[in-house]
Amino acid sequence: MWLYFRRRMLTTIPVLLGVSLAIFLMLHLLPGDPVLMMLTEHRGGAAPTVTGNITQEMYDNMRRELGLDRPLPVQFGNFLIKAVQGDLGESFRGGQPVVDLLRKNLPHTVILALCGLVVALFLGLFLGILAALNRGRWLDGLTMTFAVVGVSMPSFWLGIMLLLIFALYLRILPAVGMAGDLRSLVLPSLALGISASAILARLARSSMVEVLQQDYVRTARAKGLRERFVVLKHALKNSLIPVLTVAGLQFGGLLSGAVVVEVVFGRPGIGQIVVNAVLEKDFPVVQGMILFAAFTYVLANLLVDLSYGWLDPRVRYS
Amino acid sequence: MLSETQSVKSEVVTERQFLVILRYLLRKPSAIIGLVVLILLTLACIMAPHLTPYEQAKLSPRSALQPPSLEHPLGTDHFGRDQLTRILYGGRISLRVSVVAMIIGATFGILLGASAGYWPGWIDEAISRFIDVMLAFPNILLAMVVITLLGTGVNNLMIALGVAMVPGFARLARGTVISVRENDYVLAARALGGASPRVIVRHILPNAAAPLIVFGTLEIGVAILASAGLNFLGLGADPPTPEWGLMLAESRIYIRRAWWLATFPGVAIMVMVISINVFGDGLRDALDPWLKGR
Repeated sequence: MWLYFRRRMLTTIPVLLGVSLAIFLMLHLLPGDPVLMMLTEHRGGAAPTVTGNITQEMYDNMRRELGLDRPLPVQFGNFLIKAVQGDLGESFRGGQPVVDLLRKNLPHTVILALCGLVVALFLGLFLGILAALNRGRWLDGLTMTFAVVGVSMPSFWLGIMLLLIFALYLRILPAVGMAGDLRSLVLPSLALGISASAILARLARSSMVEVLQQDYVRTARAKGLRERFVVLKHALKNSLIPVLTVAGLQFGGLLSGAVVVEVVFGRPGIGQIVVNAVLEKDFPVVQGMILFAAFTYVLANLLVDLSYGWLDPRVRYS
Repeated sequence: MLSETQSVKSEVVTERQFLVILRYLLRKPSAIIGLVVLILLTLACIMAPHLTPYEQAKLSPRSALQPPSLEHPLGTDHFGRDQLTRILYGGRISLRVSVVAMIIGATFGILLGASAGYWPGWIDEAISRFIDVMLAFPNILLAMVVITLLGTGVNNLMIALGVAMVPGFARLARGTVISVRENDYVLAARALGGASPRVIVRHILPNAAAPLIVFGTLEIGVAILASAGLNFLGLGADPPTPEWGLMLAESRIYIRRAWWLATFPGVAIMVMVISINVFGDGLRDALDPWLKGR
């Protein structure tokens, strides 16, 4: 297990390095001069043009201060060293350290995405098992219709609909709420989770159907075990691997979805901040947010891979 | 001479394949329904100016925020514009954005993926690592990076969504090309001295096309959803444009008074994407003999 764990960890490091390099290059090789951006910001100007009394000397000083006069590999090295030390630069607008913005806002978004994932897993597995046990009957058809409708819906629109029904007409749940209030998490998590559960339900169904035909399931039944026990203990664990794999891949979608859904519900999170940063071309903020989103996503998939070892002992030794 | 007879033959095969696929497709009622709905919706959006008596941009404050009625089947918005008309016009934008984005993503993705699959060794290694890194970015967030660099607007949105689709296409193209590469006809074409790009385009891609076509179809649906999300956030079309995601964003202020504004653009997105997904699934099943054969 330890060996498997270590091998898997080692393959993650190049991807994380690559992710950092990609983001670094995007911001340094593509059009847009951060020095001009910062200088015009300091002068209170909006458009990044050399206006007023920005002298060549000021420009050069700023460039040197930011380390932009160094060769690219050196810059990337510095960027990495600083990033590891928790310094991702400062916002062009307002000068707040990006790490502070992240520390304050990212947890809300990640928690929402995780809650969405939990909803998606439970709902998806429940519906998938239900469909597999009723294969070919109307219940199967109904669940699979739900699955098609679910993947075809934007989660933020589902959020608006839930808001309309449960908060405005039925008045059961709050429309907007403080971050600490757990009830305010219900509707956004449902909006995220229902859309994501659709794919998982389809996958759980086909995986379950396959597992139910295996010899060991027949053996378990022949032993006289109760059907519920056979399904939940013997079949479920073995049908989980493909479901978890895709759930891990979906976590990226859930993060993106959470960014939009939290705007619908007016929740705190990186959503509104990243949107403003994109509109204002605030590169350091966009860079920091995307970097962390990508890291979270890669780590989520690492966790999924590691869970294979627990679900299927054969993986550990292969 | 030889390559000529070969290409004639492969055309005959493709035609027969096409008929077989069509027959499979016709046997699946859900796929037919999906295709018919999709065609009807597309036609309705294209013909929008001739189908509706209203102009999508004309403001008539006196009939603002009217609920659905015979006159305005889907109600009117805060400027008194007919919502059905705006939804039809919005469909044109959604279809254009998603199809163009898919083509951008497919072109660059297949180019990258096919190269990686065809040239094992350092080319494959380099491209594969690049794809791995790109795949680590959730698609809407990747599109956001591109929008940061290019700015908002419908055209930049297409590019952003297209870029976000590149890694998916590349990974699939690489896999299918690898599975086709060692076939006898490819080896023969190479042995006869066919130039690599020619071998890839004429011999490998046509035989690797089935999964790519299915994926491309389904990606249009994904692009419609992603584009709606980005437009909802205000990172796409600018306000007077009748774009579905933007309409949903504008509806939020009136959500207590006008449920129809928050509901129908979403229904339009859903129906469009369902029809694409159902058709794509049917297409996958129809192409299955080819998909399974590999």
